[in-house]
Amino acid sequence: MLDFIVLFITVGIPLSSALLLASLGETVNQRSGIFNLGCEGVMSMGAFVGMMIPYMVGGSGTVPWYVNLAGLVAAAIVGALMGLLFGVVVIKFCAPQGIAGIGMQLFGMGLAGTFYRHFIGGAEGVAGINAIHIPILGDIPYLGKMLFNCNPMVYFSFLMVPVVAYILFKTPWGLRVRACGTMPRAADSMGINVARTRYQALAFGSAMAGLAGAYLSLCQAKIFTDTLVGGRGFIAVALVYFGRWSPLGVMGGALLFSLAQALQLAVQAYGLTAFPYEFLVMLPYALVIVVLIFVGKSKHVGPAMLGKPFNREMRI
Amino acid sequence: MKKIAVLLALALMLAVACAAVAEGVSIAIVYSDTVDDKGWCQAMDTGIKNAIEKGYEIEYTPVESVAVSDAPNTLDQLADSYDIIIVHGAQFTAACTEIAEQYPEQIFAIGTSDQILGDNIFTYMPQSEEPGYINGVIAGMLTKSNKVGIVGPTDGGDSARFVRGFVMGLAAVNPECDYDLAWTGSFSDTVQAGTLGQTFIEKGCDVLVGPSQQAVGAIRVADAEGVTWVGQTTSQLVDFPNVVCAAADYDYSAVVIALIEGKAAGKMGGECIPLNYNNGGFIYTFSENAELMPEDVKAAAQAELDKLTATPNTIDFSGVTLE
Repeated sequence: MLDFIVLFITVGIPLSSALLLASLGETVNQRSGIFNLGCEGVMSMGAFVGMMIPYMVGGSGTVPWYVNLAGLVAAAIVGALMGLLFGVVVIKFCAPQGIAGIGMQLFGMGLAGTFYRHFIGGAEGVAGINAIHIPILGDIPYLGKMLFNCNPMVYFSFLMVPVVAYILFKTPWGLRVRACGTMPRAADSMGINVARTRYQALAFGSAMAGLAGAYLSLCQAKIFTDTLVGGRGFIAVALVYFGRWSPLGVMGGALLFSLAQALQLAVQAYGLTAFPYEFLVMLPYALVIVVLIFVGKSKHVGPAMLGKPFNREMRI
Repeated sequence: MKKIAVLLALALMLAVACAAVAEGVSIAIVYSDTVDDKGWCQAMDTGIKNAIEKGYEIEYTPVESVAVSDAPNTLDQLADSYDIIIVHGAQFTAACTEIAEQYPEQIFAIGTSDQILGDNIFTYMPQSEEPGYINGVIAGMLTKSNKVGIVGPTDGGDSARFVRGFVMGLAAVNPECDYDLAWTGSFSDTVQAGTLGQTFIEKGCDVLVGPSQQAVGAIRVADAEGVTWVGQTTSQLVDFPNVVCAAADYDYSAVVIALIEGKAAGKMGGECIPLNYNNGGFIYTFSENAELMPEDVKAAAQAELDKLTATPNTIDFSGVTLE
């Protein structure tokens, strides 16, 4: 039984990283009042760009660490640019955020697939970034395997939880972001440039989504496919509501969902179920819905002006 | 006058297009994904190109990434313009049946299905239990831990047949061998397939197998861990030469050729075209790496292949209950 628990936690934690990175980023832009349903498309572009740079340099072979790092940075930059593009649509032109987000999702997925076919094609993959063994800690029985033999990006994603929490709640910029999401008119009257702050939040959030995509292509699958992201962008958006716009809550949601997904695979692999496998496949999604029902009653409310455009000339 | 000139020009263009097509057979194929998806759609695309290479004169039009909801409209637009319309995906069955009724003179084909759907509809069904069986024979002989992992997509269609055939092949050569099976619920989630592959390796499986295009995620994990993979498409042999010991490929040219010859013989539909070793619907390739594919294993698999090629429909998977 212990082996079973160790196994599903060992495979579940790396599964959570893409969700965690994307939903932390989404937390920041939602805190500023913009929800980006196009997260899935941004992740797709991040996945493609993140993999393309190491592939262009070294093909499917091993490349120096800084080339992989360049892939991650490029994915974040492309993500940020897509965030800014989305910002132009929803901040400057005040387009409905939900519809624009769906457009961004389709645009990102289509563009990534087209570029992949043009620049790479076939079933080419990359050596990518592998898990590292942390000396001494990695040798601790059970715990070492679960926590100290992970991909560097897994540590990075969890490190970003306190970093994002600090940025949001302890810095003047974080205060401005939250003010823009809660009372943009008051923020405006205090001299805060709401549009600029929202652009910045979107760029940060989308850079994180780009990184999340690159994590999938460089660290997990080590290949790009059109369906690589597989709906994780939408799950990331849902996890922000699940986590009540708090980095810690979002981390809890990402872990819960990923561990549930790893659990259902492990339960099947161990032949521990009397239920049809379809029930198990559905379990993580059903779990998120059930938890969302309960957290909906939480006293922590979301940004009051989430999804609403701000026009300083209007008086309402 | 201008309008008449435009109409005449259009009529001329149409006539030229029809004349070009009339020399051979015009085939449109409706795909659910792109023709380079490394799996399902690519196999059919390769199949029709193989048929062209075999000397069949085909005017081929692929229609890619068609959503199920758009299928009726797409088929409606294609009908009457092509000799044969192939609808590659069982999810399009309702749309195909509906549109085929409206165009009784048009030949449709849909797969995978073994049902008889209408007088002007052919169905085609890969008998995937055959390559599954050969893969099972190889896995059963190669495993040292007597633990084999199956990365399943969904328990339906030809992946269900493949897995059951695999289990039969495994039991035939190594009754002591245990298999672990799990389904991801998707054909394309490479990340989850990779996670599943990792799970099996952690459990001690030393040989892995898995149908569908998602398998590439699991093969990457197998490649990193040095665990043997018994493949399903020959491109896997090329992409992962260090771990893929053998691979079965679909050759849909058998379906395309049967359709063209059926049309020539005046058949409009009403039958199921099987895809098996006997009619060249599957091709099996072994790795040339003797460490991955020892001679005795290769000989045993080849013997089974010869039997299947000589006599089709010998793998009765209907009684297989998966653990």
